[in-house]
Amino acid sequence: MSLKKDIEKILLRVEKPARYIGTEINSVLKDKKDYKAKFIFAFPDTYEIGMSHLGMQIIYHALNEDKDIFCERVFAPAVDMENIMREKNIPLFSLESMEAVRDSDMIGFTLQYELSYTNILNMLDLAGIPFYAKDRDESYPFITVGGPCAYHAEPLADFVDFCILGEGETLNVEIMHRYIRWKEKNCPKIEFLKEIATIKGVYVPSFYDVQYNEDHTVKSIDKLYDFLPDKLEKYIEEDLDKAYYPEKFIVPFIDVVHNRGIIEIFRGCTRGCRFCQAGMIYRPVRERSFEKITELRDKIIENTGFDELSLISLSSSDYSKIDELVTNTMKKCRAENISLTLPSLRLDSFSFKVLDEIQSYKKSGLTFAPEAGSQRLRDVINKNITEENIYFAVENALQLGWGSIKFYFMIGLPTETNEDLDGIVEIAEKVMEIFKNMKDKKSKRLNVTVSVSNFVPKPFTPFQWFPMATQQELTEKKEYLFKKFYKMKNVKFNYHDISTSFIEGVFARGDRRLSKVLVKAHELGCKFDGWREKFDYQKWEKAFSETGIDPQFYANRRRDYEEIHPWSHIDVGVTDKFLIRENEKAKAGELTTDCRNQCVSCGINTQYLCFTKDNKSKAGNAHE
Amino acid sequence: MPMNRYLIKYTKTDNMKYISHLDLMNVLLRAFKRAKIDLAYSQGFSPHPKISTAHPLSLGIESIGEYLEVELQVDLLPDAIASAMKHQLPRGIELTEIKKVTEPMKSIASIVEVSGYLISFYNDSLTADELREKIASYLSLDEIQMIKISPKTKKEKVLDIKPLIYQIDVLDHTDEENYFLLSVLLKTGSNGNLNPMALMENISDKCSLNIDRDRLSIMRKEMYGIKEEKRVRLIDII
Repeated sequence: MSLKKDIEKILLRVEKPARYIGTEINSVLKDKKDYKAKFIFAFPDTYEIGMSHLGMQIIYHALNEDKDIFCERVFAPAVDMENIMREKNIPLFSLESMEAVRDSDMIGFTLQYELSYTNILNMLDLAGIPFYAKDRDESYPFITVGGPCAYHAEPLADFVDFCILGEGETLNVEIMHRYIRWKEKNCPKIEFLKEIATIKGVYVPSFYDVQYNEDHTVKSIDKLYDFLPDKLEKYIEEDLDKAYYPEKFIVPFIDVVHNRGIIEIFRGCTRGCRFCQAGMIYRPVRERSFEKITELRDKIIENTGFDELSLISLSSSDYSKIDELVTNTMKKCRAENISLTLPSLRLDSFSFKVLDEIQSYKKSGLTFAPEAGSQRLRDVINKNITEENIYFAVENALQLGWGSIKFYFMIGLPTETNEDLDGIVEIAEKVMEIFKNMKDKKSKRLNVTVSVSNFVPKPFTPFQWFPMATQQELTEKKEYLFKKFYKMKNVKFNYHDISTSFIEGVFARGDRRLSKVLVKAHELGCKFDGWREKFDYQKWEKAFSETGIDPQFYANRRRDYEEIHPWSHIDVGVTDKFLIRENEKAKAGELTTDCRNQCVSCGINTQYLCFTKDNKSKAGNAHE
Repeated sequence: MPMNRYLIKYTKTDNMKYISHLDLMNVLLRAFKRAKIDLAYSQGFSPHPKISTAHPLSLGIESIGEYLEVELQVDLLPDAIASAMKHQLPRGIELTEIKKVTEPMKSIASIVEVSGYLISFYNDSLTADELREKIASYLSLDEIQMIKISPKTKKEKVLDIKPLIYQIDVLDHTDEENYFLLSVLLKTGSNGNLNPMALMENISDKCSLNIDRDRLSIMRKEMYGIKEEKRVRLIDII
């Protein structure tokens, strides 16, 4: 194909040309005569970021296992590549076949974070595909989105043909099968959309009409056809041992953010931290069995040759057989000269002996996430960590020789006062004091990093009604902390850009009226908004003013319980009653227990099976 | 004396020209792992696998004459290594010759002296004979000056690269019209090194050739050491 030749001519002009060539070990190439439909998995950021994404590896291989389906990848081209592509009229192309993505059957964008939305528009632009669904005729591929933000993707609703709500390893394959059958029938695209709109986990935004009140809040969300569900439910894999998981990972040629074999040990989380969207939308907890994990682990090591392995979940210390699993995996890794990482270990059930063994290869930094500086505020957000937990863990870490500890906090949390901010400083001071007074410590110096991010209220959490702190308020809080940390030696203070978080806050709880803002922002040149050096707030301000949209309406407005949200027609399984109850408990500073201990009636078990301690999943009854 | 040491000649062609030398090392390491060939590791706090190359190849340049040396945990026949690796290597990397190092030998990085390159470039205003004349007068200069900018200090230094050029031949055969083929031998390694891309920039400038970077391709054909004052292919050094 001549497109391939055109691309090859310019590859040596760009930085890291290997981003665009595919052909990695375990990547798949199928011949046109061998498949019936092509799905493009589009990650709206660079190759290095996208190749670290587990979800893509799962869906890519799940689809390619099917002989009728060919799944290819496309990433956001770096700016230097984009410039040459526009200059030479090279359309956005997929990595495997180097064919134009415009000629595929379906393109699926994964929505990992709101700041990637302008990249999606940019990629559509480079592909020669109109942004708005209504502007695309029968010749264009279907555009779909999935991933965590797909549950509240209303700002993209006018661009996409359908959204996938939930887990895709089975659902994506099913949708492609339906697509292949539809394709053979030669009928209009709307027939396909009507057919899949009744599948659990599929949401067709154009089939739901949104009406607004005069004050711009949502008046109603009405389905256009009777056969449609009133509320869109998510699709989840009930049994992770039976669900598809790849035994081969694509191995990048170049260095990417995480170049390692990954095994997901369980999905969901039972801790119930009130700020955390993942903990709400990925319920219920489903574990992979010890046997399945070790089997996958061994095959992945064999098929990839990675020198690093990672066991991941939202809260790995909660895995029912974590000690056994880590011991067994450490043995294997030592024998194969592979290093093991175990992120998301919680502070209060920390097993230091285990961590010491894992980290014996490289004593890199240890990270803890208390999130709030005072016990009062930690109780408000239901982060079940006490100061004893923190200092006990620090003492252990220092005794075992760690020289670098990083703490994560948020500012702008509900009910936060300066006293809570003082708590952050006190923790850092106390840690340095512990280090100074410790007699049997192994390391000569201790580097403490305090990293503070800006709290963004998210849909489907108890704080979804909470107004995000204004940029002014966040700036004041940041300066308050900055002044205090400035004086502390050996403590580094990091903070996140506030205007970036503000934009995230706008789109996280946005509605369909924001689509024109996105188009304008793209027109003004916004892209790679998640990258500090590329984010340009002035362009965003211009985009809002030129479209007549007030961003503060979305980010900084307090909502009341009666309001209909732009995402109210989406059902993640957790009830509004539960979220309201949790929000009220937050205001009173009351804790809610980990639901592995006792059901807290979030509502998920009326639709799905919950994980129980003896691993016999039983449907319980919601209290209300 | 280290046991189970092997000298391997390999290629870096096709899509592999788009990855850096450092990335290539990781590609090879993972291939060895998948082939279940255990590399020996160094001692100490941060053990690393015992593999090293003769000389790094710049991104964008292809090669059929690359060399690495590796130490394995077990004694394997070269054929066994080749067949195990064959299925684990991406297209563009082939292990073309493997020899076990049985006598004491310095590292190949310290042995390598010369690289042979085949260079193809586009020029539609010269004949082959005219090009030969230009190259001849280029080589007959007492001194061939090249400005080198230190990457760290950004300071400019003037070098005489004539001693680093052993040979430049204009070959008769070309596949495509208006493309010329040069066969060159350049000094390589820690005792002195001339990058073929830098050479071509210099020739283009001094001979007024206006070489288009997009229509210039370079392939390393072979690497040599000096044995008994003769130039010997690295694979034949042992």
